[in-house]
Amino acid sequence: MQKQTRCPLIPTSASSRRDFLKQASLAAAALAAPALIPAAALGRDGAVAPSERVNMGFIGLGGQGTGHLLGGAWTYVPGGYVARDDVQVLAVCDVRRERRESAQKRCNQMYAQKLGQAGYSGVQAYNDFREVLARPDLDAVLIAVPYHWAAPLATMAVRAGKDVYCEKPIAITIREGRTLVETCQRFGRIYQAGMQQRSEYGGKFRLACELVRNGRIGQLKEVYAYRQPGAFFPTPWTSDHSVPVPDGFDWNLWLGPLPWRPFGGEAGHALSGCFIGDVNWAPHHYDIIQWTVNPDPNAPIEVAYENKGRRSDDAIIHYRYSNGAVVHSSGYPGERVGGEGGACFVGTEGRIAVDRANIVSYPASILKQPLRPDDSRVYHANSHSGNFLECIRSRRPTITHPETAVYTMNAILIGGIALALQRAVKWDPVKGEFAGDEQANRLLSYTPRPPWRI
Amino acid sequence: MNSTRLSLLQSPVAASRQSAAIFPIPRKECGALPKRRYASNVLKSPLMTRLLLAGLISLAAITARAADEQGLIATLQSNAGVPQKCAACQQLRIIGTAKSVPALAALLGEERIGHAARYALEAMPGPEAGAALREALGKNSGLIKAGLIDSLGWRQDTESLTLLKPLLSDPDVTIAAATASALGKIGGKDAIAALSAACDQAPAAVQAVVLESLLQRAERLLSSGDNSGAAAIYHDLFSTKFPVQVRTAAWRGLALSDAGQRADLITKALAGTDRPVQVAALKLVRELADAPVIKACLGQWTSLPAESQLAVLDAHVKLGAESLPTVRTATQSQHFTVRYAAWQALADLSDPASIPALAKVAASGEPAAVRMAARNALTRVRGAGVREALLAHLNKAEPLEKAELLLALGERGDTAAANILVQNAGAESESVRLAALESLRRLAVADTISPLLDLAAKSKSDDAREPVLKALYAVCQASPDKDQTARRVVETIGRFPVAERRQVLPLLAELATPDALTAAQAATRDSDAELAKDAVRVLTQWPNAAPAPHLLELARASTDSTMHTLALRGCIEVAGQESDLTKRLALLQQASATAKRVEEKKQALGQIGQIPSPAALEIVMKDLADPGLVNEAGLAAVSIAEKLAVTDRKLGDDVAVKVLAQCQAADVVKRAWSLRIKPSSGASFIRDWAVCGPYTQAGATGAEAVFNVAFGPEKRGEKVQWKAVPRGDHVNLMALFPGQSSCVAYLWTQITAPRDCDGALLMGSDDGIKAWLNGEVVHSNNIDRGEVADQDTAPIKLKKGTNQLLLKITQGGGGWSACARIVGTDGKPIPGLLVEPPTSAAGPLVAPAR
Repeated sequence: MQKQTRCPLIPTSASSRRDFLKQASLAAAALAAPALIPAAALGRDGAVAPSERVNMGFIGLGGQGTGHLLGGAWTYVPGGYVARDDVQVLAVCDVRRERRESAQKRCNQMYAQKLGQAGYSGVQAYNDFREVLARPDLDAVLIAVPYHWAAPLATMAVRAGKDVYCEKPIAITIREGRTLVETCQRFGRIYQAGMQQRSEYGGKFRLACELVRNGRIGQLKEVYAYRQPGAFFPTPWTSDHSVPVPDGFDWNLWLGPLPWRPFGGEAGHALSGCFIGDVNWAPHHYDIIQWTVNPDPNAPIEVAYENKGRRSDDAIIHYRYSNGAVVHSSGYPGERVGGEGGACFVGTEGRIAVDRANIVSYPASILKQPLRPDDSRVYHANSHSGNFLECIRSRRPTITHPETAVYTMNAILIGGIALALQRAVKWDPVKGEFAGDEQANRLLSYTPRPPWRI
Repeated sequence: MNSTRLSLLQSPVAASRQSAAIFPIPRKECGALPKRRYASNVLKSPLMTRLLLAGLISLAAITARAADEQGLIATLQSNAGVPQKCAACQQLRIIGTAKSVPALAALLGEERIGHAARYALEAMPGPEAGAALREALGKNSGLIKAGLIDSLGWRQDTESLTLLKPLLSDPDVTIAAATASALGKIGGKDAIAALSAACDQAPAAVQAVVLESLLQRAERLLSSGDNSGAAAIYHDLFSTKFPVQVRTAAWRGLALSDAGQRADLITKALAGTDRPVQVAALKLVRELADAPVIKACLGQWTSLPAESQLAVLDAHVKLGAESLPTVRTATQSQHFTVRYAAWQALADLSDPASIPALAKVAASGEPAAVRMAARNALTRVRGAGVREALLAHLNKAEPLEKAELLLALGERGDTAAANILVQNAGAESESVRLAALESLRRLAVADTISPLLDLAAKSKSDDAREPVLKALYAVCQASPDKDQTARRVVETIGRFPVAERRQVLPLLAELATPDALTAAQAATRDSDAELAKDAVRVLTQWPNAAPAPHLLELARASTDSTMHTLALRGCIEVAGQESDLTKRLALLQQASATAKRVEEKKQALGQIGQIPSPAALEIVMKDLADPGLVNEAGLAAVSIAEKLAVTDRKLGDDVAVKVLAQCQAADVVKRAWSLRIKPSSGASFIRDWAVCGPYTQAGATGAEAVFNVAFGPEKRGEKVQWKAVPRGDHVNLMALFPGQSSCVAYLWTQITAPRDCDGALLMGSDDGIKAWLNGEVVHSNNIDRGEVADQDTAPIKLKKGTNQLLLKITQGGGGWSACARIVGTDGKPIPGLLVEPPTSAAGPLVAPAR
């Protein structure tokens, strides 16, 4: 007790003392924030025995996948999963030989060092993810693959009895999302989507969410998302442009369910022209918005399309929710905060803008008033990867469980369909289809290339 | 915060009103309506008008669609290429009608276009599309046939059942698996029977799909109320002969479909040793939150393992207050995680009776997480009687528990409890005292200022005073009426002895009112020299320029050199906050004139450099001639000139020439060069380069990570393969090395100079760039950016004859390119300078420095 409230002696100079006091008071405020679920508290008692480690496979070893696996400057998993004592990495998988071999080498080296076993070779490398999913000794897989593979791969992993972490965009059609949710329920697996803003970034997003939900800005009227939604809408469907496939790259498997085309030199997160709007960065923005607009059943029911030029890239999408809140895909005029995965919430008595780096409120006093006992709270986690692993052990739903992730993705996809059609659409969130709109309903799904199916 | 923000701040509702007509009828839908971004008049118009308009729009759209469809069909039937025909199919997916079906059907057998044609047909609602897909089934094989089966499945085409059933045993497992999947989607008794018959005989690849299709059908039966039909399927699948994930899914289905057996099934699973089923039960019990199931589980409570207890507890808490007895039981669990969750749960259960127990655990020797859970619950527990219970227990609690309760009052934002906190802020128990002060800091109630000041004065040591000062600081910061608070502070601290006054002086700068200023200024003249110096330090921290004249006067008048320096530095510091630039410049000039030492003159130059005016520039230019001030004067001059040059390029150029003539500091020289050299320089880009790369480093991701990794050309003796680059102003490395990321490439060229001369290397790069001239690093910019010509400048010295120029360009992802050119000190081309295409295979003759 004493140790928690005591601090070092005040410096003797008055000026530095003032700074010190200011810092100390800010630090104390940060410490005083409620910590509802301390990390590892939900694990089994005591230290993690080898038999209780989560055996994991990593599918997709690009920047995102490697960041999760090995850590790095951008990642929110310090040292990566491979550094965690409660995880044992057994498999790494990528359609690029050099990536999987490099990751395998790094992991084996790290374990050799950690376990004091020279020549450790317990991490296997795979080209075909189906071989990873067939391993009975894997508990969970982390999926960080091109957009079109996210839902098919996650669904196949769940069918194989694995718990799944999956990077955005989670699903690229409404049908994929629905199948994902149903499959997770059917097999009772744990799933976490890579919408880590609910857990990371010092709790700024959670704070914004709880303040808005508890009426600190009055009645929520509008939200600015700073980001266009998007949808799968390939233009062109295929191409004849061809260059030699690099050695060690399985192009056919990379392409998977997409319409066939020869390798044209690009194979990153997505093929250019496959998507209209933004399906990959927008989920961060819209996830926080939907968390905050709540209650969940009030999914957007109307989507308006505002033409701002000749291209749909310039258009603004406006969503209306059944509780009256309106979400704009544009930024709040003059407000800089919100662009980094955030949003600006405007109520009748104030507004809050939040992103990964900042949270601001107008008036400023909104942020200074702590939450009160009577205020409602939301799911609280301070580490996204920690939450995933805790839920694997406890079988509690993760902070971005499939229903939540797909609810967010659906909002993005219906906005993307409005962009594709360049007009307004009406959405029936209960039926999961557009109301009396046959054209729009034809874009709820696509037709994967056999033998791939979801 | 800028002024724009302030105005937005004041009127959130106004912003809301600006787009209040937010559900526009978009222009595209508005057809003949006047072109308005938001047709708010339509929103306000009577419903009938809107319906009529909608009807007209639909008619117009249908006419347009028919014409489009005809054109698309013509494309399908033409000699157009594969991409064009696929694009037509894609559009027909959206607008196609029965008219398109024959043209699409004719393409179903073609490998690439067939996929696109099926994409169009799969989504068409009419029976013609289904018929076309069925008809194509018999004419195709392999993956095309599998795709057709998939589409029939998604269409839930019951008419295809007869065709599909035999395909379940097709020797092509791809077709058999597609059939199993389709039957699972189409459903019906026949489909279930066929799937059930196949589940034992099918090869493994098909069996997995058969089993999932059966699970899918069972779910549909369950959701339609046919629990016994669902249970029958689940019962068959709950077998060890099937993969473990199917068996557990079947167990889950059984528990859901058989209400009579549910409690027994779940209890046994939670207490049992069948691990996969237990894992399924942990999730299901929470999802169901079913009272009879929970009751049955509670009957086995002590025999349940930790994770099962936790699951039952979670499930019960979902039911609200009725779970209180369970939660209380769980607080006594032998398992740490369960106790933790139980204390956590009390936060939401509105139970005043739990307060003493929570306080006790929060203050106990339990693991930190459990104590934190209890502490959090103390903060959050709500409902009738909770506050009263908390205050009542405060009077009885032991000191450590009391401290927890006092902390909770602060965390709960209970400003009405400020008096109670003040009473305890002087307690003998250190725990109690610190907790009360922490909560007073947290609440920052204005009325606590006087008692807190008294406490500060009475504190017997710095340690004891420190938390009081923190609370005081928070109160001052939060004070809604700073004038009144300042008067109270000034009045109170006036009674303090010198030593105590020194401790609380910084509060004056936080308040920064006229009274506070007067008091702080008066303190600078106190007979106690240390107090006076502290007062000067406080004025140096003032949030505006108000103390500047006083500090200047103090500096001028002071005979004490320390006081003189402190006051003068303070004056220069706060003068920088003067918003009237003329006044600011005058103050700084006076301060500089008062300065006895070069350090303060340098400080003043730094501040004057922030004033973007010709008058300020004139002052700093004079100091260029002073050897002791030349670098600071140069820096100030370029800082001002950079701003003025936006509208007066010549001025920027003139300043740069003068600075370059006097100043040697590298950063100043670089900035002066940037002012000097115009992007409009007539010099041509270097067009002859040799390239090597790409080089990567395992584990280094992103442009910035590879920047400082030394590869071949940077290593002595390392063999490097140089290749000529196609001539051009800009080297497009992305075209030379497609699809690369997190890597570097090197560019090398040879420059022949007619004589030794000074010049500047102008560079643009995507992403980062490092440059070596004759082996010496002349430029380094580790950055992730797009290329703009001349975005970087480096002063260089060329020697007569051949000079080796080596560039290192990093690539994070996306574009990857670079350009460079060399100009003289006048910004113009250097006469006689030649670029020679590198010919030696050996690379740069001088190895670059590492």
